Amino acid sequence: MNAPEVVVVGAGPAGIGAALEAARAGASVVVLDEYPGTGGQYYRQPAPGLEASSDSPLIEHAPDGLARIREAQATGVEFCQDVLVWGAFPDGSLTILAAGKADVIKPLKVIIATGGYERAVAFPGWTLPGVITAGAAQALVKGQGILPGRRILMAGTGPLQMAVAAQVVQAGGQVIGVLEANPFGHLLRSGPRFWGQWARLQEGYRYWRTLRSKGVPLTFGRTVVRAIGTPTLSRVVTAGLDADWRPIPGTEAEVDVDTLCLGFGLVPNTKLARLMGCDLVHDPCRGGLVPVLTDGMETSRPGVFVAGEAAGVAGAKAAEYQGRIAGINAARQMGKVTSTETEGRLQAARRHLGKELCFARALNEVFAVKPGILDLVTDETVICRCEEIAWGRLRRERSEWATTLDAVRSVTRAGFGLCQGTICEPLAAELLARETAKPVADLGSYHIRPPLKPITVGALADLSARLPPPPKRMDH
Amino acid sequence: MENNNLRLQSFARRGQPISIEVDGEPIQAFEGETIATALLAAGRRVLRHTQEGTPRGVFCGMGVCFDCVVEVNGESSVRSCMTAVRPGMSIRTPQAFHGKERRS
Repeated sequence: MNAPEVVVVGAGPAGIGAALEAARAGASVVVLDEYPGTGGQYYRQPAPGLEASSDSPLIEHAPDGLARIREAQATGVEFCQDVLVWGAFPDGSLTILAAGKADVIKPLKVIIATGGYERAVAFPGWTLPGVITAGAAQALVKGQGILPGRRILMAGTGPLQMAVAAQVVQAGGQVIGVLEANPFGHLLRSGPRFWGQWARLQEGYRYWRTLRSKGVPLTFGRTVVRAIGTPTLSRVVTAGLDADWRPIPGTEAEVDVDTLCLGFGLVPNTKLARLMGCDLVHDPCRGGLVPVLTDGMETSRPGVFVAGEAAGVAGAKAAEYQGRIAGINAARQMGKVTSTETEGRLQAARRHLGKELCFARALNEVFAVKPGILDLVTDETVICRCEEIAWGRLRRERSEWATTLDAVRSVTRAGFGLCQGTICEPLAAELLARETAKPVADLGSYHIRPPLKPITVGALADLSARLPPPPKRMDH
Repeated sequence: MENNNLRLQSFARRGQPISIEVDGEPIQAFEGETIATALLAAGRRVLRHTQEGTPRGVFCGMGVCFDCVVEVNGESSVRSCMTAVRPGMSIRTPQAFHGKERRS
Protein backbone atom coordinates (compact mmCIF):
# COMPACT_ATOMS: atom_id res chain seq x y z
CA MET A 1 0.00 0.00 0.00
CA ASN A 2 1.34 3.45 -0.90
CA ALA A 3 1.74 5.53 2.23
CA PRO A 4 -1.16 7.99 2.40
CA GLU A 5 -0.72 11.28 4.22
CA VAL A 6 -3.73 10.64 6.45
CA VAL A 7 -4.91 7.27 7.72
CA VAL A 8 -8.39 7.15 9.23
CA VAL A 9 -9.12 4.02 11.26
CA GLY A 10 -12.82 3.14 11.10
CA ALA A 11 -15.38 3.81 8.36
CA GLY A 12 -18.36 4.88 10.48
CA PRO A 13 -19.85 8.40 10.74
CA ALA A 14 -16.73 9.88 12.40
CA GLY A 15 -14.29 8.24 10.00
CA ILE A 16 -16.26 9.26 6.92
CA GLY A 17 -16.54 12.87 8.17
CA ALA A 18 -12.81 13.05 8.96
CA ALA A 19 -11.76 11.53 5.65
CA LEU A 20 -14.05 13.80 3.67
CA GLU A 21 -12.68 17.01 5.21
CA ALA A 22 -9.02 15.96 4.98
CA ALA A 23 -9.45 14.91 1.34
CA ARG A 24 -11.37 18.06 0.48
CA ALA A 25 -8.36 20.03 1.76
CA GLY A 26 -6.13 18.13 -0.66
CA ALA A 27 -4.59 15.43 1.54
CA SER A 28 -4.29 11.84 0.35
CA VAL A 29 -6.60 9.88 2.64
CA VAL A 30 -7.13 6.18 3.19
CA VAL A 31 -9.79 4.79 5.52
CA LEU A 32 -8.92 1.39 6.99
CA ASP A 33 -11.87 -0.57 8.32
CA GLU A 34 -12.04 -4.05 9.80
CA TYR A 35 -15.52 -4.84 8.48
CA PRO A 36 -16.41 -6.26 5.07
CA GLY A 37 -18.82 -3.34 4.45
CA THR A 38 -18.27 0.43 4.72
CA GLY A 39 -20.36 2.48 7.16
CA GLY A 40 -19.63 1.06 10.60
CA GLN A 41 -22.55 0.09 12.81
CA TYR A 42 -24.70 3.18 12.25
CA TYR A 43 -24.45 3.39 8.45
CA ARG A 44 -24.39 -0.39 8.09
CA GLN A 45 -25.23 -1.40 4.52
CA PRO A 46 -27.14 -4.63 3.85
CA ALA A 47 -24.64 -7.40 3.02
CA PRO A 48 -23.86 -7.88 -0.69
CA GLY A 49 -26.51 -10.04 -2.29
CA LEU A 50 -29.17 -8.99 0.23
CA GLU A 51 -31.47 -6.39 -1.25
CA ALA A 52 -34.00 -4.67 0.94
CA SER A 53 -37.13 -3.25 -0.60
CA SER A 54 -36.96 0.55 -0.72
CA ASP A 55 -39.84 0.94 1.76
CA SER A 56 -38.24 -1.38 4.31
CA PRO A 57 -37.90 0.30 7.72
CA LEU A 58 -34.81 -1.80 8.24
CA ILE A 59 -32.57 0.10 5.87
CA GLU A 60 -33.01 3.23 8.07
CA HIS A 61 -29.66 5.09 7.90
CA ALA A 62 -28.10 3.00 5.11
CA PRO A 63 -29.04 5.27 2.14
CA ASP A 64 -27.87 8.36 4.04
CA GLY A 65 -24.60 6.58 4.82
CA LEU A 66 -24.14 5.46 1.23
CA ALA A 67 -24.55 9.07 0.02
CA ARG A 68 -21.81 10.20 2.43
CA ILE A 69 -19.51 7.36 1.42
CA ARG A 70 -20.00 8.24 -2.27
CA GLU A 71 -19.33 11.92 -1.53
CA ALA A 72 -16.09 11.02 0.25
CA GLN A 73 -15.04 8.72 -2.60
CA ALA A 74 -15.76 11.46 -5.13
CA THR A 75 -13.47 13.73 -3.12
CA GLY A 76 -10.67 11.18 -3.41
CA VAL A 77 -11.00 9.11 -0.24
CA GLU A 78 -10.02 5.47 -0.59
CA PHE A 79 -11.96 3.04 1.63
CA CYS A 80 -10.15 -0.22 2.38
CA GLN A 81 -12.43 -2.85 3.96
CA ASP A 82 -11.40 -6.04 5.75
CA VAL A 83 -8.25 -4.30 6.98
CA LEU A 84 -7.31 -4.68 10.63
CA VAL A 85 -5.01 -2.14 12.29
CA TRP A 86 -3.38 -4.35 14.92
CA GLY A 87 -0.35 -2.44 16.07
CA ALA A 88 1.18 1.00 16.52
CA PHE A 89 4.81 1.74 17.25
CA PRO A 90 6.72 4.70 18.75
CA ASP A 91 8.08 5.82 15.35
CA GLY A 92 4.52 6.56 14.25
CA SER A 93 4.04 3.48 12.11
CA LEU A 94 0.92 1.33 12.13
CA THR A 95 0.85 -2.38 11.42
CA ILE A 96 -2.08 -3.71 9.48
CA LEU A 97 -3.46 -7.03 8.28
CA ALA A 98 -5.16 -7.23 4.88
CA ALA A 99 -6.11 -10.47 3.13
CA GLY A 100 -4.09 -12.49 5.64
CA LYS A 101 -0.96 -10.45 4.98
CA ALA A 102 0.65 -8.10 7.52
CA ASP A 103 2.14 -4.78 6.47
CA VAL A 104 3.55 -1.54 7.92
CA ILE A 105 2.42 1.95 6.99
CA LYS A 106 3.67 5.29 8.24
CA PRO A 107 1.18 8.08 7.66
CA LEU A 108 1.76 11.71 8.64
CA LYS A 109 -1.52 11.93 10.54
CA VAL A 110 -3.69 9.26 12.16
CA ILE A 111 -7.37 9.80 12.89
CA ILE A 112 -8.79 7.13 15.18
CA ALA A 113 -12.51 6.57 14.66
CA THR A 114 -12.87 3.08 16.08
CA GLY A 115 -16.33 3.61 17.57
CA GLY A 116 -17.71 1.96 20.66
CA TYR A 117 -19.18 -1.32 21.76
CA GLU A 118 -21.82 -2.51 24.19
CA ARG A 119 -21.19 -2.24 27.93
CA ALA A 120 -21.16 -5.67 29.55
CA VAL A 121 -23.53 -6.28 32.45
CA ALA A 122 -22.97 -9.67 34.05
CA PHE A 123 -25.42 -11.98 35.81
CA PRO A 124 -25.71 -15.76 36.18
CA GLY A 125 -26.25 -17.31 32.75
CA TRP A 126 -25.13 -14.32 30.68
CA THR A 127 -22.76 -16.49 28.61
CA LEU A 128 -25.56 -18.78 27.33
CA PRO A 129 -26.12 -18.90 23.57
CA GLY A 130 -29.23 -16.78 23.00
CA VAL A 131 -28.06 -13.97 25.28
CA ILE A 132 -26.85 -11.28 22.88
CA THR A 133 -26.30 -7.54 22.85
CA ALA A 134 -28.86 -5.13 21.41
CA GLY A 135 -26.19 -4.20 18.86
CA ALA A 136 -25.93 -7.83 17.77
CA ALA A 137 -29.71 -7.99 17.29
CA GLN A 138 -29.53 -4.85 15.16
CA ALA A 139 -26.62 -6.18 13.10
CA LEU A 140 -28.50 -9.43 12.43
CA VAL A 141 -31.75 -7.74 11.47
CA LYS A 142 -30.39 -4.79 9.48
CA GLY A 143 -27.20 -6.22 8.05
CA GLN A 144 -28.17 -9.82 7.55
CA GLY A 145 -31.94 -9.84 7.25
CA ILE A 146 -32.44 -12.43 9.95
CA LEU A 147 -34.29 -12.38 13.27
CA PRO A 148 -32.10 -13.19 16.28
CA GLY A 149 -34.75 -15.59 17.65
CA ARG A 150 -38.43 -16.41 18.06
CA ARG A 151 -39.32 -15.07 21.50
CA ILE A 152 -37.20 -12.05 22.28
CA LEU A 153 -36.92 -10.05 25.49
CA MET A 154 -35.01 -6.76 25.63
CA ALA A 155 -33.39 -5.67 28.90
CA GLY A 156 -31.24 -2.64 29.57
CA THR A 157 -31.60 1.10 29.53
CA GLY A 158 -31.90 4.00 27.13
CA PRO A 159 -33.29 4.64 23.70
CA LEU A 160 -31.11 2.18 21.71
CA GLN A 161 -32.92 -0.89 23.01
CA MET A 162 -36.26 0.77 22.18
CA ALA A 163 -35.02 1.42 18.64
CA VAL A 164 -33.82 -2.16 18.24
CA ALA A 165 -37.09 -3.55 19.66
CA ALA A 166 -39.06 -1.41 17.19
CA GLN A 167 -36.91 -2.65 14.29
CA VAL A 168 -37.33 -6.28 15.33
CA VAL A 169 -41.14 -6.04 15.49
CA GLN A 170 -41.28 -4.12 12.22
CA ALA A 171 -39.29 -6.96 10.68
CA GLY A 172 -41.98 -9.35 11.91
CA GLY A 173 -40.21 -10.63 15.01
CA GLN A 174 -41.85 -11.31 18.35
CA VAL A 175 -40.61 -9.08 21.16
CA ILE A 176 -42.36 -10.14 24.34
CA GLY A 177 -41.25 -7.08 26.28
CA VAL A 178 -38.79 -4.26 26.81
CA LEU A 179 -37.41 -3.83 30.33
CA GLU A 180 -36.05 -0.36 31.17
CA ALA A 181 -34.00 -0.55 34.35
CA ASN A 182 -34.84 3.00 35.42
CA PRO A 183 -38.09 3.60 37.26
CA PHE A 184 -40.60 5.67 35.30
CA GLY A 185 -40.44 8.48 37.89
CA HIS A 186 -36.71 8.95 37.27
CA LEU A 187 -37.31 9.43 33.56
CA LEU A 188 -40.27 11.71 34.16
CA ARG A 189 -38.19 13.93 36.45
CA SER A 190 -35.41 13.97 33.84
CA GLY A 191 -37.82 15.08 31.13
CA PRO A 192 -36.94 18.81 31.30
CA ARG A 193 -33.31 17.98 30.44
CA PHE A 194 -34.48 17.09 26.94
CA TRP A 195 -36.43 20.34 26.49
CA GLY A 196 -35.95 21.54 22.93
CA GLN A 197 -34.82 18.17 21.57
CA TRP A 198 -38.09 17.78 19.71
CA ALA A 199 -36.77 15.69 16.81
CA ARG A 200 -35.18 13.24 19.23
CA LEU A 201 -38.25 13.06 21.43
CA GLN A 202 -40.36 12.49 18.34
CA GLU A 203 -38.06 9.64 17.29
CA GLY A 204 -38.48 8.09 20.74
CA TYR A 205 -42.22 8.55 20.50
CA ARG A 206 -42.22 6.76 17.12
CA TYR A 207 -40.46 3.73 18.62
CA TRP A 208 -42.87 3.70 21.54
CA ARG A 209 -45.86 3.91 19.18
CA THR A 210 -44.50 1.06 17.03
CA LEU A 211 -44.05 -1.13 20.11
CA ARG A 212 -47.49 -0.20 21.43
CA SER A 213 -49.19 -0.96 18.12
CA LYS A 214 -47.66 -4.46 18.20
CA GLY A 215 -48.67 -4.93 21.83
CA VAL A 216 -45.11 -4.99 23.18
CA PRO A 217 -45.17 -4.06 26.87
CA LEU A 218 -42.58 -1.55 28.12
CA THR A 219 -41.78 -2.12 31.79
CA PHE A 220 -39.87 0.35 33.96
CA GLY A 221 -37.70 -0.39 36.97
CA ARG A 222 -37.10 -4.02 36.06
CA THR A 223 -34.36 -6.13 34.50
CA VAL A 224 -33.15 -9.68 33.95
CA VAL A 225 -31.28 -11.17 36.93
CA ARG A 226 -30.66 -14.72 35.66
CA ALA A 227 -30.63 -16.56 32.34
CA ILE A 228 -31.41 -20.30 32.26
CA GLY A 229 -31.23 -23.04 29.63
CA THR A 230 -29.39 -26.15 28.41
CA PRO A 231 -27.59 -25.83 26.08
CA THR A 232 -29.21 -22.57 24.91
CA LEU A 233 -31.35 -19.92 26.60
CA SER A 234 -34.90 -21.08 27.37
CA ARG A 235 -36.07 -18.76 30.14
CA VAL A 236 -35.04 -15.79 32.26
CA VAL A 237 -35.75 -14.56 35.75
CA THR A 238 -36.58 -10.87 35.97
CA ALA A 239 -36.80 -8.70 39.08
CA GLY A 240 -37.86 -5.22 40.06
CA LEU A 241 -35.06 -2.74 40.79
CA ASP A 242 -34.77 0.04 43.30
CA ALA A 243 -33.55 3.53 42.34
CA ASP A 244 -29.90 2.34 42.48
CA TRP A 245 -30.83 -0.73 40.39
CA ARG A 246 -30.51 -3.18 43.28
CA PRO A 247 -32.85 -6.12 42.73
CA ILE A 248 -35.80 -6.04 45.13
CA PRO A 249 -36.29 -9.42 46.88
CA GLY A 250 -39.68 -11.04 46.31
CA THR A 251 -40.27 -9.36 42.93
CA GLU A 252 -38.85 -12.17 40.78
CA ALA A 253 -40.81 -13.55 37.85
CA GLU A 254 -39.92 -16.17 35.23
CA VAL A 255 -40.58 -15.88 31.53
CA ASP A 256 -39.90 -18.24 28.60
CA VAL A 257 -37.68 -16.71 25.91
CA ASP A 258 -35.14 -18.02 23.42
CA THR A 259 -33.37 -14.68 22.98
CA LEU A 260 -32.38 -11.97 25.45
CA CYS A 261 -30.97 -8.70 24.08
CA LEU A 262 -28.91 -6.62 26.50
CA GLY A 263 -28.60 -2.88 25.89
CA PHE A 264 -26.85 -1.07 28.73
CA GLY A 265 -25.24 1.67 26.66
CA LEU A 266 -21.89 1.90 24.94
CA VAL A 267 -18.23 2.01 25.92
CA PRO A 268 -15.68 3.96 23.82
CA ASN A 269 -13.21 1.73 21.99
CA THR A 270 -9.96 3.40 23.02
CA LYS A 271 -7.56 0.51 22.46
CA LEU A 272 -5.71 1.94 19.45
CA ALA A 273 -5.47 5.37 21.10
CA ARG A 274 -4.02 3.70 24.20
CA LEU A 275 -1.60 1.64 22.14
CA MET A 276 -0.42 4.88 20.51
CA GLY A 277 0.34 6.25 23.96
CA CYS A 278 -2.40 8.89 24.11
CA ASP A 279 -3.33 10.17 27.59
CA LEU A 280 -6.71 9.05 28.90
CA VAL A 281 -9.10 10.22 31.57
CA HIS A 282 -12.11 8.67 33.29
CA ASP A 283 -15.36 10.42 32.43
CA PRO A 284 -18.47 8.44 33.37
CA CYS A 285 -20.61 10.98 31.47
CA ARG A 286 -18.91 9.95 28.24
CA GLY A 287 -18.84 6.17 28.77
CA GLY A 288 -15.75 5.65 30.95
CA LEU A 289 -12.15 5.80 29.82
CA VAL A 290 -11.74 8.45 27.07
CA PRO A 291 -8.74 10.13 25.42
CA VAL A 292 -7.72 13.62 26.53
CA LEU A 293 -8.41 15.85 23.52
CA THR A 294 -7.87 19.42 22.38
CA ASP A 295 -10.86 21.24 20.87
CA GLY A 296 -9.29 20.25 17.54
CA MET A 297 -9.78 16.56 18.50
CA GLU A 298 -6.02 16.03 18.79
CA THR A 299 -4.70 13.69 21.49
CA SER A 300 -1.68 14.22 23.75
CA ARG A 301 0.32 12.68 20.90
CA PRO A 302 0.84 15.28 18.18
CA GLY A 303 -0.65 14.27 14.85
CA VAL A 304 -2.93 11.63 16.39
CA PHE A 305 -6.63 12.51 16.51
CA VAL A 306 -9.67 10.70 17.91
CA ALA A 307 -13.27 11.28 16.79
CA GLY A 308 -16.64 9.66 17.33
CA GLU A 309 -17.66 7.20 20.05
CA ALA A 310 -13.98 6.36 20.59
CA ALA A 311 -13.63 9.95 21.88
CA GLY A 312 -16.59 9.54 24.27
CA VAL A 313 -20.10 8.23 23.65
CA ALA A 314 -22.17 10.98 22.01
CA GLY A 315 -24.01 9.48 19.05
CA ALA A 316 -23.62 9.43 15.28
CA LYS A 317 -24.21 13.14 14.60
CA ALA A 318 -21.62 14.27 17.15
CA ALA A 319 -19.27 11.66 15.70
CA GLU A 320 -19.56 13.15 12.24
CA TYR A 321 -18.87 16.72 13.44
CA GLN A 322 -15.91 15.54 15.52
CA GLY A 323 -14.61 13.70 12.47
CA ARG A 324 -14.92 16.83 10.36
CA ILE A 325 -13.06 18.90 12.97
CA ALA A 326 -10.28 16.29 13.17
CA GLY A 327 -10.02 16.12 9.37
CA ILE A 328 -9.81 19.89 8.98
CA ASN A 329 -7.18 20.20 11.71
CA ALA A 330 -5.06 17.37 10.31
CA ALA A 331 -5.09 19.10 6.91
CA ARG A 332 -4.23 22.47 8.48
CA GLN A 333 -1.26 20.97 10.31
CA MET A 334 0.08 19.61 7.04
CA GLY A 335 -0.25 23.03 5.45
CA LYS A 336 -2.84 21.79 2.96
CA VAL A 337 -5.21 24.62 3.77
CA THR A 338 -4.99 27.90 5.63
CA SER A 339 -6.99 28.68 8.74
CA THR A 340 -8.99 31.37 6.93
CA GLU A 341 -10.03 28.94 4.17
CA THR A 342 -11.43 26.45 6.64
CA GLU A 343 -12.53 28.67 9.52
CA GLY A 344 -16.15 28.82 8.37
CA ARG A 345 -16.58 25.07 8.14
CA LEU A 346 -14.71 24.49 11.38
CA GLN A 347 -16.91 26.96 13.26
CA ALA A 348 -20.07 25.40 11.81
CA ALA A 349 -18.94 21.91 12.89
CA ARG A 350 -18.09 23.22 16.39
CA ARG A 351 -21.49 24.87 16.74
CA HIS A 352 -23.37 21.71 15.74
CA LEU A 353 -21.10 19.58 17.91
CA GLY A 354 -21.79 21.75 20.94
CA LYS A 355 -25.52 21.10 20.68
CA GLU A 356 -25.00 17.38 20.15
CA LEU A 357 -22.66 17.07 23.15
CA CYS A 358 -25.19 18.85 25.34
CA PHE A 359 -27.85 16.33 24.35
CA ALA A 360 -25.43 13.41 24.70
CA ARG A 361 -24.47 14.48 28.23
CA ALA A 362 -28.11 14.56 29.30
CA LEU A 363 -28.73 11.17 27.72
CA ASN A 364 -25.61 9.58 29.24
CA GLU A 365 -26.45 10.94 32.70
CA VAL A 366 -30.11 10.01 32.67
CA PHE A 367 -29.43 6.48 31.37
CA ALA A 368 -26.17 5.88 33.27
CA VAL A 369 -25.77 2.33 34.56
CA LYS A 370 -26.35 2.41 38.34
CA PRO A 371 -24.07 0.55 40.76
CA GLY A 372 -26.78 -1.75 42.20
CA ILE A 373 -26.67 -3.82 39.00
CA LEU A 374 -23.32 -5.21 40.21
CA ASP A 375 -25.30 -7.08 42.91
CA LEU A 376 -26.37 -9.53 40.17
CA VAL A 377 -22.80 -10.87 40.00
CA THR A 378 -22.16 -13.91 42.22
CA ASP A 379 -18.79 -15.56 42.93
CA GLU A 380 -19.59 -18.10 40.19
CA THR A 381 -20.52 -15.52 37.54
CA VAL A 382 -18.02 -15.44 34.69
CA ILE A 383 -16.47 -11.99 34.20
CA CYS A 384 -13.80 -12.74 31.58
CA ARG A 385 -15.79 -14.68 28.99
CA CYS A 386 -12.70 -15.66 26.97
CA GLU A 387 -10.64 -17.21 29.79
CA GLU A 388 -13.71 -18.17 31.84
CA ILE A 389 -12.62 -16.37 34.99
CA ALA A 390 -15.40 -15.96 37.55
CA TRP A 391 -15.80 -13.04 39.93
CA GLY A 392 -14.91 -15.18 42.96
CA ARG A 393 -11.48 -15.81 41.48
CA LEU A 394 -10.88 -12.10 40.81
CA ARG A 395 -12.05 -11.21 44.28
CA ARG A 396 -9.84 -13.81 46.00
CA GLU A 397 -6.71 -13.07 43.96
CA ARG A 398 -6.95 -9.37 44.55
CA SER A 399 -4.44 -8.69 47.27
CA GLU A 400 -2.33 -5.98 48.83
CA TRP A 401 0.07 -6.06 45.93
CA ALA A 402 -2.43 -6.76 43.16
CA THR A 403 -4.17 -3.43 43.59
CA THR A 404 -4.54 -2.32 39.99
CA LEU A 405 -6.73 -3.73 37.25
CA ASP A 406 -3.62 -4.70 35.29
CA ALA A 407 -2.08 -6.55 38.24
CA VAL A 408 -5.29 -8.49 38.85
CA ARG A 409 -5.26 -9.39 35.17
CA SER A 410 -1.72 -10.73 35.43
CA VAL A 411 -2.61 -12.88 38.44
CA THR A 412 -5.92 -14.25 37.15
CA ARG A 413 -5.59 -14.12 33.33
CA ALA A 414 -8.91 -12.25 33.16
CA GLY A 415 -8.49 -10.12 30.05
CA PHE A 416 -5.81 -12.28 28.42
CA GLY A 417 -8.15 -14.12 26.03
CA LEU A 418 -9.02 -13.64 22.38
CA CYS A 419 -10.93 -10.38 22.93
CA GLN A 420 -7.91 -9.00 24.82
CA GLY A 421 -9.97 -7.74 27.73
CA THR A 422 -12.24 -5.61 25.57
CA ILE A 423 -15.47 -6.96 27.04
CA CYS A 424 -14.44 -7.54 30.68
CA GLU A 425 -12.29 -4.46 31.33
CA PRO A 426 -15.07 -1.95 32.20
CA LEU A 427 -16.97 -4.63 34.15
CA ALA A 428 -13.92 -5.84 36.11
CA ALA A 429 -13.01 -2.22 36.86
CA GLU A 430 -16.43 -1.44 38.34
CA LEU A 431 -16.51 -4.65 40.40
CA LEU A 432 -13.01 -4.15 41.79
CA ALA A 433 -13.72 -0.51 42.54
CA ARG A 434 -16.74 -1.52 44.58
CA GLU A 435 -14.82 -4.32 46.32
CA THR A 436 -11.94 -2.01 47.29
CA ALA A 437 -14.14 1.05 47.90
CA LYS A 438 -11.96 3.06 45.55
CA PRO A 439 -12.90 5.34 42.67
CA VAL A 440 -12.80 3.34 39.43
CA ALA A 441 -10.24 5.76 37.98
CA ASP A 442 -7.73 4.71 40.70
CA LEU A 443 -7.61 1.13 39.44
CA GLY A 444 -5.99 2.06 36.14
CA SER A 445 -6.68 0.04 33.02
CA TYR A 446 -5.43 -3.03 31.19
CA HIS A 447 -2.08 -2.34 29.54
CA ILE A 448 -2.62 -2.57 25.78
CA ARG A 449 -0.11 -4.39 23.63
CA PRO A 450 -0.08 -5.38 19.96
CA PRO A 451 -1.72 -7.27 18.37
CA LEU A 452 -5.01 -5.54 19.24
CA LYS A 453 -6.83 -8.55 17.82
CA PRO A 454 -5.40 -12.03 17.20
CA ILE A 455 -3.36 -12.47 14.02
CA THR A 456 -1.49 -15.58 12.89
CA VAL A 457 2.16 -16.26 13.63
CA GLY A 458 2.51 -16.98 9.90
CA ALA A 459 1.48 -13.42 9.02
CA LEU A 460 4.03 -12.05 11.52
CA ALA A 461 6.82 -14.28 10.22
CA ASP A 462 6.06 -13.27 6.64
CA LEU A 463 6.15 -9.57 7.62
CA SER A 464 9.46 -9.85 9.45
CA ALA A 465 10.99 -11.64 6.43
CA ARG A 466 10.01 -8.68 4.22
CA LEU A 467 11.16 -5.91 6.58
CA PRO A 468 14.71 -4.54 6.42
CA PRO A 469 16.83 -5.82 9.31
CA PRO A 470 16.78 -3.53 12.36
CA PRO A 471 19.81 -1.21 12.68
CA LYS A 472 22.60 -2.61 14.88
CA ARG A 473 22.59 -1.15 18.34
CA MET A 474 25.74 0.79 19.23
CA ASP A 475 25.72 0.10 22.95
CA HIS A 476 29.46 0.08 23.36
CA MET B 1 -34.49 -28.18 13.83
CA GLU B 2 -34.75 -26.10 10.64
CA ASN B 3 -35.64 -22.48 11.27
CA ASN B 4 -35.79 -21.11 7.76
CA ASN B 5 -38.32 -18.45 8.56
CA LEU B 6 -35.97 -16.56 10.86
CA ARG B 7 -34.78 -15.10 7.55
CA LEU B 8 -36.84 -11.97 6.98
CA GLN B 9 -39.40 -11.76 4.24
CA SER B 10 -39.17 -7.95 4.13
CA PHE B 11 -35.86 -8.22 2.28
CA ALA B 12 -37.03 -8.62 -1.28
CA ARG B 13 -34.08 -10.55 -2.59
CA ARG B 14 -31.37 -12.79 -1.18
CA GLY B 15 -28.10 -13.71 -2.79
CA GLN B 16 -27.39 -16.94 -4.62
CA PRO B 17 -27.90 -20.14 -2.62
CA ILE B 18 -24.63 -21.59 -1.34
CA SER B 19 -23.97 -24.96 0.23
CA ILE B 20 -21.59 -25.18 3.18
CA GLU B 21 -20.65 -28.03 5.50
CA VAL B 22 -20.95 -27.72 9.26
CA ASP B 23 -19.51 -30.54 11.38
CA GLY B 24 -19.85 -32.79 8.34
CA GLU B 25 -23.47 -31.85 7.73
CA PRO B 26 -24.55 -29.90 4.62
CA ILE B 27 -26.26 -26.57 5.33
CA GLN B 28 -27.95 -24.23 2.88
CA ALA B 29 -26.91 -20.58 3.05
CA PHE B 30 -27.11 -17.53 0.80
CA GLU B 31 -24.45 -15.27 -0.66
CA GLY B 32 -23.83 -12.28 1.61
CA GLU B 33 -24.64 -14.14 4.80
CA THR B 34 -22.14 -14.58 7.58
CA ILE B 35 -21.38 -18.00 9.02
CA ALA B 36 -23.24 -16.94 12.19
CA THR B 37 -26.36 -16.09 10.17
CA ALA B 38 -26.27 -19.38 8.24
CA LEU B 39 -25.94 -21.35 11.48
CA LEU B 40 -28.65 -19.35 13.24
CA ALA B 41 -31.01 -19.93 10.31
CA ALA B 42 -30.20 -23.65 10.48
CA GLY B 43 -31.20 -23.67 14.16
CA ARG B 44 -27.64 -24.03 15.43
CA ARG B 45 -27.17 -21.48 18.17
CA VAL B 46 -24.31 -23.27 19.92
CA LEU B 47 -21.23 -22.25 17.93
CA ARG B 48 -18.61 -23.80 20.17
CA HIS B 49 -17.87 -25.22 23.61
CA THR B 50 -15.24 -23.64 25.82
CA GLN B 51 -12.39 -25.44 27.56
CA GLU B 52 -14.70 -25.80 30.55
CA GLY B 53 -17.28 -27.35 28.24
CA THR B 54 -19.83 -24.52 28.39
CA PRO B 55 -21.75 -23.67 25.21
CA ARG B 56 -21.27 -20.29 23.50
CA GLY B 57 -22.91 -18.51 20.60
CA VAL B 58 -23.14 -15.04 19.11
CA PHE B 59 -22.81 -12.32 21.76
CA CYS B 60 -21.68 -8.91 20.45
CA GLY B 61 -22.38 -9.65 16.79
CA MET B 62 -19.78 -7.09 15.66
CA GLY B 63 -16.43 -8.79 15.92
CA VAL B 64 -15.44 -7.52 19.37
CA CYS B 65 -16.07 -10.38 21.82
CA PHE B 66 -14.68 -13.44 19.94
CA ASP B 67 -17.34 -15.65 21.55
CA CYS B 68 -18.67 -16.88 18.19
CA VAL B 69 -15.36 -18.26 16.88
CA VAL B 70 -15.43 -21.46 14.82
CA GLU B 71 -12.95 -23.43 12.74
CA VAL B 72 -13.14 -22.63 9.01
CA ASN B 73 -11.32 -24.83 6.46
CA GLY B 74 -8.88 -25.85 9.20
CA GLU B 75 -8.20 -22.31 10.45
CA SER B 76 -9.15 -21.88 14.11
CA SER B 77 -10.63 -18.89 15.97
CA VAL B 78 -12.48 -17.42 12.98
CA ARG B 79 -15.23 -14.99 13.99
CA SER B 80 -18.44 -16.39 12.52
CA CYS B 81 -20.21 -13.01 12.83
CA MET B 82 -17.60 -11.31 10.61
CA THR B 83 -16.93 -14.00 8.02
CA ALA B 84 -19.06 -14.42 4.92
CA VAL B 85 -20.01 -17.89 3.73
CA ARG B 86 -18.30 -19.20 0.59
CA PRO B 87 -19.34 -22.18 -1.50
CA GLY B 88 -17.92 -25.43 -0.16
CA MET B 89 -16.73 -23.91 3.11
CA SER B 90 -16.06 -26.52 5.76
CA ILE B 91 -16.87 -25.38 9.29
CA ARG B 92 -16.29 -27.11 12.58
CA THR B 93 -17.84 -25.94 15.82
CA PRO B 94 -15.14 -26.46 18.46
CA GLN B 95 -16.00 -28.95 21.18
CA ALA B 96 -14.59 -29.06 24.70
CA PHE B 97 -10.97 -29.29 23.57
CA HIS B 98 -11.04 -32.98 22.69
CA GLY B 99 -9.63 -34.35 25.92
CA LYS B 100 -6.73 -31.91 26.05
CA GLU B 101 -5.78 -30.95 29.54
CA ARG B 102 -7.25 -27.75 30.83
CA ARG B 103 -4.90 -24.95 31.65
CA SER B 104 -5.07 -24.23 35.34
